[in-house]
Amino acid sequence: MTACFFVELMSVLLYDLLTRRRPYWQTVVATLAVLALMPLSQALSGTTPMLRLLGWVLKA
Amino acid sequence: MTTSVLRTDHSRSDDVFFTIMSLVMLATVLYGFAHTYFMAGMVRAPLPSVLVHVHGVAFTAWILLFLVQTVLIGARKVRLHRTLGWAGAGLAMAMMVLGVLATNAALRRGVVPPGFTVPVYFLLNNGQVIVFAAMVAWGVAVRYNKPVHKRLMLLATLGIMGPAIARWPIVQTHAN
Repeated sequence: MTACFFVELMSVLLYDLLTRRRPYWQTVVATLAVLALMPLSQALSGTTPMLRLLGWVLKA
Repeated sequence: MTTSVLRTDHSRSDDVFFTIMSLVMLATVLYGFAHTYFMAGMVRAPLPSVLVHVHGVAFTAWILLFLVQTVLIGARKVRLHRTLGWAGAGLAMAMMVLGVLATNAALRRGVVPPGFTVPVYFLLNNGQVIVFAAMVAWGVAVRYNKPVHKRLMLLATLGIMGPAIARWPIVQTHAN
């Protein structure tokens, strides 16, 4: 799953590189934002504010 | 000379690439949700709630709209593309709300895919739709910068492909 997702996500940067364009900084930022979601979710998953928020959502 | 040709806002290679990518995303979604949604009759599909149905319609509409928008630009129908674009912006905001509601409803039903803990699934799924909406808003804000606009819209959509890929029969981490 991760590999397929990664390939699709990287296609934009790859396209710019293959067509000899310098990647737009916005593309790099947006790609990194998507890629950062998983590690960020794992890092924040044990924090108290997040667990409180999750508890509130599950009770609502 | 070559560089200036390659750097034009509207190159034929862009039309081809973005159309192919919109078809790849459509195929990704159709394959991922074929068993539980598209081949199950969509409206008649046995989904857990009306909310999940509405969520399915909205997200499917976005993928189809993306394809239509790409084709419209390729056909130089810019005015219609812009009109539909505003509808798309509204749809994207609705998708963020629906995505958050659907994730939280799934958690309340005790649905967590294998390999995920409840907090990680909660943060990842909600984060995906929030990042999606933020990127669409960014794409709308820079809509007159055509190369950046189309890349942000594509990346926003690619960012929400995870749930579809996770449902591919060869991957299958989600049951529904």
